[in-house]
Amino acid sequence: MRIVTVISNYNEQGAIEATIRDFRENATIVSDLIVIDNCSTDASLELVKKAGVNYLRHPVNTGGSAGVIKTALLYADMFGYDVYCHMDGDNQHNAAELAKLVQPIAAGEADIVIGSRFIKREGFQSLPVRRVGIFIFSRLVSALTGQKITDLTSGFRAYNKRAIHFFARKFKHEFEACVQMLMVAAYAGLRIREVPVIMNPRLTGRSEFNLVNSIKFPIFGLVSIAGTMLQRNTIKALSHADQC
Amino acid sequence: MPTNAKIMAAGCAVAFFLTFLFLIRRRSLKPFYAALWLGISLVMMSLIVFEKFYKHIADLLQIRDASFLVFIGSNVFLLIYVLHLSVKLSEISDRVQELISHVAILDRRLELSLEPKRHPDEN
Repeated sequence: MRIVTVISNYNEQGAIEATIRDFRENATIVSDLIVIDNCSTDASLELVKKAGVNYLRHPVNTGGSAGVIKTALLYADMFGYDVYCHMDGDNQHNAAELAKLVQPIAAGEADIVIGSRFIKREGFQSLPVRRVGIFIFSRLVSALTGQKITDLTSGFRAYNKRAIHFFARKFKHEFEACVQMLMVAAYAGLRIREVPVIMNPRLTGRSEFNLVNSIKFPIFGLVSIAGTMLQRNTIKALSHADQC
Repeated sequence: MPTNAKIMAAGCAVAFFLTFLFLIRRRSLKPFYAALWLGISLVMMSLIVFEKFYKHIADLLQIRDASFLVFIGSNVFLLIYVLHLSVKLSEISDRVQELISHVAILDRRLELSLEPKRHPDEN
């Protein structure tokens, strides 16, 4: 089984080396490693090059992690990988837990696996306000898709070949990516599974979730849910065409 | 329509038409938008030339003042046009993302192919 682990990087010069080191020292899976840089303006890409890791660089910044995920999916699809694991470059995700993400896919039990910090409630749990938002939206998406999701915004995920191909070729990022991707996956008949993980607080830098984003998230999240519900039949048809 | 208003409307229509011609000359407009704005500038001119015709339509729609007809018409047109631009912008943004992803991958492949290949005996 060919696995690629993608580390997303945007101005993570304080954490990217530690994230790469963590992968090299603690990952128990056999996986290629690639860093996707979202046009960083700091020295983080130089650190990646210095570490000798394969990398891709966006020629312009895509504004959020969704663009990096799209590139990663396309890369994994183009080069025929069976599994794509995603880690953030801020060292919040532990490489030792990548095996937990890959295991349900290897066993054929899931198409997408999410590392959730809210199953065992250990380690870094995010800010209380954000936790409330994640809880409400996770419950809402779980109810609408019939698949249990507790950590909707977790970027620590693994996708199997079917999910990679579907999202690389058919998925258009139209709404709030983390919400939309899981709803689209559920409507496309992809099986989503969560596994408990422990996350770390950010080493350095700023989170994507600032004041503006904390106002934007619930609004865009609701639009995303409503929009994806309207697209339900189209998504099912796309998924069916993909399987034929 | 009072003469002053007619002169002002005619001036606006002519200025709009000249701007349109200038943009066509500079090839700044795609054919679809060129045709659209040509139509708009002709409609603007027709408001002065065929004033009675528009009054007649306003009467048919039971709109007392013909200027309201122009006001409502232009508002509806602008709303539809903004919606059209939003759709186009969304499509373009998808295509840009697709291109960014492909460029990133191709760029790296090119970079790797241009790197001097190491001799197997080299450390």
